[in-house]
Amino acid sequence: MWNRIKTLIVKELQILLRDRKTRIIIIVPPIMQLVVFSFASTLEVKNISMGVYNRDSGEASRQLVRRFEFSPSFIKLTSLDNPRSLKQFLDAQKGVMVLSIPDDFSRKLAAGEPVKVQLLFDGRRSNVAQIVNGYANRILASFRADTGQAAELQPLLVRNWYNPNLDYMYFTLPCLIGILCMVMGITIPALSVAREREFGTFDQILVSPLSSTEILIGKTVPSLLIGLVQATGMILAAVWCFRLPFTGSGGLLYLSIVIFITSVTGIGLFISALCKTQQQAILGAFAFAVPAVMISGYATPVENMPQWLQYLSLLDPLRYFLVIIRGIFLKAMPFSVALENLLPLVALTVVSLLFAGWFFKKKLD
Amino acid sequence: MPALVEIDRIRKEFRGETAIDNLTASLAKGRITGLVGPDGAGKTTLIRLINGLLAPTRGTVRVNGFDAARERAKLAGFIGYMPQKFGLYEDLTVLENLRLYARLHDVPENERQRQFEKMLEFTDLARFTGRLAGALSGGMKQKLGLACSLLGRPRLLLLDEPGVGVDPISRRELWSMVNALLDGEMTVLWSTSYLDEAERCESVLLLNESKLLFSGPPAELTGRLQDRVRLLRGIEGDRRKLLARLLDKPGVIDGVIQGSALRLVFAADAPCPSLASLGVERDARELIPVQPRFEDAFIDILGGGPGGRSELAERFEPLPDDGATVAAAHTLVKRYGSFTAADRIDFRIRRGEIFGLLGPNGAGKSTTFKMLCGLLRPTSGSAEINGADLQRSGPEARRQLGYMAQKFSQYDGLNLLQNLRFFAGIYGLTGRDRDREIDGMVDAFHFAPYLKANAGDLPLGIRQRLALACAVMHKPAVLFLDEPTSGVSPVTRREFWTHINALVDKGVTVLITTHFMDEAEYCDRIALVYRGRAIATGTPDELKEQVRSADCPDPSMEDAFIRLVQESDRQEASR
Repeated sequence: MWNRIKTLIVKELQILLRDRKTRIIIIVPPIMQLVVFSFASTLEVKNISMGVYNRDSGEASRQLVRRFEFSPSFIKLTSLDNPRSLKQFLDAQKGVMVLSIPDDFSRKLAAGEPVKVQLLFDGRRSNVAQIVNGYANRILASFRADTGQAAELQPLLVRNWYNPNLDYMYFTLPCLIGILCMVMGITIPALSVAREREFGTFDQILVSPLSSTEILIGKTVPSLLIGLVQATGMILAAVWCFRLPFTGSGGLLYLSIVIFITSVTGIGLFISALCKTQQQAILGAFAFAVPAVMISGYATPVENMPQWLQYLSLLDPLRYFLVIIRGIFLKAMPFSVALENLLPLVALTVVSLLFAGWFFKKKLD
Repeated sequence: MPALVEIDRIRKEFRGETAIDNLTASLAKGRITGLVGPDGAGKTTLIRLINGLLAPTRGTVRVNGFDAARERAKLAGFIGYMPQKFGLYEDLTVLENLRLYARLHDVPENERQRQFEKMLEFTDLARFTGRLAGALSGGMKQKLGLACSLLGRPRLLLLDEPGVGVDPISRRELWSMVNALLDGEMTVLWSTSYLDEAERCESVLLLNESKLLFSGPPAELTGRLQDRVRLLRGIEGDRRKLLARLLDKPGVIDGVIQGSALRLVFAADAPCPSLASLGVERDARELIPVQPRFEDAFIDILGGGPGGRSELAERFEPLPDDGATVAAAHTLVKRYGSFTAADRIDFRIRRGEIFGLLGPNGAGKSTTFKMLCGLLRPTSGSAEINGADLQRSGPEARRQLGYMAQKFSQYDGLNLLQNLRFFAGIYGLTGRDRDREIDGMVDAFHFAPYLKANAGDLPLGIRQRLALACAVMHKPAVLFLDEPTSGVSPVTRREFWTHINALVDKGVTVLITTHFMDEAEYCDRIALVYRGRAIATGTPDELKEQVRSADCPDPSMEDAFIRLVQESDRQEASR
């Protein structure tokens, strides 16, 4: 039995690695995607243009404007002198925010009365507006504190644990490693089975003494090996090129990767059992992968989703793996904590492989 | 007769590989010319050179006086081309396909209706105008493809293997259709790998390994073999052993099994053969002269077929000659919804027998075949190999069978040696056993120069050998062959049958599906499958006997096939 499985694995690796083009396709795109995505998918907002409608001529208002000017987030300030140009500014999307200062600002401030300014946002870009709002409020709060307004309130000192500079790369990179591992882990086995079907070699395998379990193992192991190589490449790139801190246990991370890739390979094999051609297999793989990324908690927290989606995400292996890989990279997640997410992953692995095996058998009908 | 197409010393190379080698020929106007040769001979390349889709590396092709490659625009509408896989839109109906191609061919609006009617009547597709092209049978698809390529009334019609994968009945219909087109205006080039089709052409171009072997009327070629072909009849004992013996005799350049008889071709310089000169007085009763066929002539040009010795079979231990039932179908039924693909199929195959499944496309022979080798689960009934039900006993029972698929199903991405290793491995051969078997295959099939070559790049003949090697390396007791020699050259086919015959002599049992009537002649028994049922079962001679009549005194296997199917249609209609 082991000899037969070994034969299958050797064959699979030979097919994948013998051709130079396939070799390159397996190694280069994941690293390239990692680089491109990690720069592209930042959630940070930088280089903001804003407008200033200052009706006050006092020194205090100029000081406030200067604070915005010197903030690293806001790079371009446009002076607006009437409400019409203000409207135009936002309409034409020249900037996402306008700071409007009333004409009694300096006077009230000097008199020690409470002052107010208005912030206008472009609601069409709600995400950006929300983030910019946060930046602006921070500047306003420090201005208030310095000018003695509401002096009784001690400003809070926010400290971001595990990501002190709130560098979004810290968040996205480990997630991307998981996502890319998943996409490859699904497509490689799905394509390899579909290709064998198209070329008629699958029939050859089915009439041989190989059992469906052996075929399943013979398809899973090569995909796992390739996935491990890819994951290692991406982890090294993250640590060496992107200077991501790696705080946890490498052994634990690899254990999780093995379980994770096996579970998605099972899904890939399951998809391939339903497909006749490579085209269907690719479409099937993406039909699974895209929603799996969306409900994994990568882009939006799972807790923000409607209840039924939260239940659905319980079946998403990526959901558990993202928690583990982020935890291991950034906060030295201990084994006991990782286990909470590893156990569901193991369960999903068993189920997906059983399903794939069952469908392989059923396919004979 | 003026020439419509003149091909002058053309050569075509693809990345250093020669596809057409220094070919000079012409197509006579208003005639049908057969372009004959095995797969990979260069037929498709030549057709694409004639319609200007490819430019020759050297030499010129002139069609109606224009350079086919450089002045292609001037030939627009002049040439009708039906490629091997005609681009029918399977999701459109028959009529929609015709409309689409009429527009593509710029057929004027006012003329379309008339042409459609003519085409539909001509192809007998008028009843099916509303049917989706994808739901047509293989033969009907080819007819529709032919109709589409005739729209716009081309003067030169290029048909690239219209008969491939089409059963003999539809092939005959296609043939008579194209012949009806020859009204003195239309010139037709009909390419085929079926050598019997060549005999019906007025003129043939015989292509082999990118070289033109012969150009002229087929009778001229077969005429060279007049009086050199004999049928050895009344054979007592094993005809396969006798054939192997005779093939190794000097003077015998070719020999095939034809039912219970042997068909032998003798060398030109051989003395007039007799039972005595062959040394078979005790084995056979008579040796009668027969008409030479195109295939005999082809083998003759190539210098004769292979000998009768199979190094492969010598590696096999003889199995007991006990006449045991090795494979059996017990009222096999396969249903897909309301459609019955196989209907109560019943037969038993004894050890050392070659059993053939014959039938038109979609008749259920592949379904039956797949149920027998365990690739399909029957709806009811059972299939047994060596007394074991493949659905239940699984892996160990499967070790007893070897399988060779219809199209080449080895791994293109692996080299020849890796393929051998893989197939040895999945059949559980390890270590020294594995190496010994692989070495044996390399010797028996002369693989040594090709070991490191990608299986996908191998010449067709070698690929065919590799497929057989992979199927028999583990010495199976039963061999499943699914149209094993479609498209290969007649020499390769003979070599293949030399091995099969010798294996059968050792007691290996063979189940084969085939389209080739001469391959059917090799079988001990045949089941003719039509509309899911086995409409006739018997030896090739018995089937031929069944259709013998006054207007067909000496039916061929093809005659038997066609008449039995038509008879079944009549019974169905009268019911």
